Amino acid sequence: MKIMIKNFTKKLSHNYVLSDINLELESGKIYGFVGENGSGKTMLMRAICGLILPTMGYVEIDGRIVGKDISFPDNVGVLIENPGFIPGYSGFRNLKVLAQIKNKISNDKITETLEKVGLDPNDKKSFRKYSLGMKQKLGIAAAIMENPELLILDEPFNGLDEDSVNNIRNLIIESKKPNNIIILSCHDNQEIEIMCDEIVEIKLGKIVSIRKSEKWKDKNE
Amino acid sequence: MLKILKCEIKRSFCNYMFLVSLFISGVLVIWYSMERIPLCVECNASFYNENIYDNFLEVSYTNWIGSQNMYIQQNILYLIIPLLAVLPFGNSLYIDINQGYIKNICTRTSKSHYLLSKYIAVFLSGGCAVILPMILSFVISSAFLPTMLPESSYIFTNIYPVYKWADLLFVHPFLYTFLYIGITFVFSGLTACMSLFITYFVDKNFIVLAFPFFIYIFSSLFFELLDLEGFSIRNILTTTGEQGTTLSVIILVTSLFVLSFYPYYIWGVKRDVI
Repeated sequence: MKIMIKNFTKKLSHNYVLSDINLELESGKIYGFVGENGSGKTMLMRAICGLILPTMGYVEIDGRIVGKDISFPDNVGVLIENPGFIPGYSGFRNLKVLAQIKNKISNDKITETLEKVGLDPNDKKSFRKYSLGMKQKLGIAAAIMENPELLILDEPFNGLDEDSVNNIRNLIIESKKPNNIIILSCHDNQEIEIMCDEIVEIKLGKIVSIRKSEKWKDKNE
Repeated sequence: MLKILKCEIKRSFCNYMFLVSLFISGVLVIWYSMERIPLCVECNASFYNENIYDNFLEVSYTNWIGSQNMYIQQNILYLIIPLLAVLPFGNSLYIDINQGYIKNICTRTSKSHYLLSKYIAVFLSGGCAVILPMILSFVISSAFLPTMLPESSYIFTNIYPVYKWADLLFVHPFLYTFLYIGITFVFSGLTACMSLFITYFVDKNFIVLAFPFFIYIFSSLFFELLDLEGFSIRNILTTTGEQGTTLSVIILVTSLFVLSFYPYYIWGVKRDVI
């Protein structure tokens, strides 16, 4: 899988939230998006998965332009901002409803994913009664359950306790495969350095630097 | 498309608000039946037992809730049709957008399929929420009153020859009844769908829920004040409504469909999911 972002610009309410973004992402890598609040990390993630359309430029995934040739990447798992689910359904039922749309995975796979993120698949509690951490775990489970080729996780550690952070970190690293791309954003720079291969720094809607992470340097030097 | 449609339809019918809507209309139907049916049964008993042959038989076709306009229950029911229709699923797009659920959907299926499925689900649930109690009313009437042709004289019913499709009542009363229930289904569904487009512009759930009600009331009053009752939705849905014609029904259905679907769909496809 290869993602090419060319001159991507997005204007919202007279403000440029993304300006002339040029970026290439290749499979087999974990990319970290870093930047201050409101710098445009989440917007760039939305652009990659087709949730926002460009004012100028384009996002091309394996030769197909998002919003023109395809509405969204074929095989993508997304957690952007707050995890949103049907409030009256349990975690398992919510994932089942989502899984039915593509019909690619079985109930066993959903159960396995819920267990992996640290949720009880048999818990009948409705989503509206979930704690912040449980909601976050369910959001991560929804993103990873279909083994996506493109995994986008925006602040995946929000609301998680230390054990859960370790568990989710391991899950994300395990999800890295030669044919997939993982994109993460996180406020904790240390976490990004540990997990990612390349780090993209964004400021005021523009990419200011793209560099290899400390982890990558340690491994390759 | 079929998978997301199935999911949306399931969500639209299997939810708490659908039951709330049915409960409200069910209470009105039972209240109406408790007042109307005993009177009719008494009238029919006098016809059979007391040999009062200048009287006439009350039949189910002219005594279900949609065929009367003298009862407060009927007036309330026809006044709140848009609220009953919108309650089950009319605010679901608002909820999906505000709670972020739409991001999970639009990364699994195209936005156009999602929007189409949402429209169909809102239409079906809105229509069913309104007509199920009407069918219940007809079933209750049929259980206690004879299901036979009404007296072929307009003086025994509230339905006059000038009313739309009135002739049908005395030839094919079942078809007549279900024609009215059918147009109520279509208008209720379309009215519920009016809530979808407004979702893009407001940030209050109650405005989304109330919008179809205001459209229904203001458009009905507007046409009634202009003496164009044939274009008043409230007037068209009742068997006792004057001036309506088949043409006015077709024009209204087409207008409501165009107004509720195209702006919602075209705007929705182009709109960013934020």
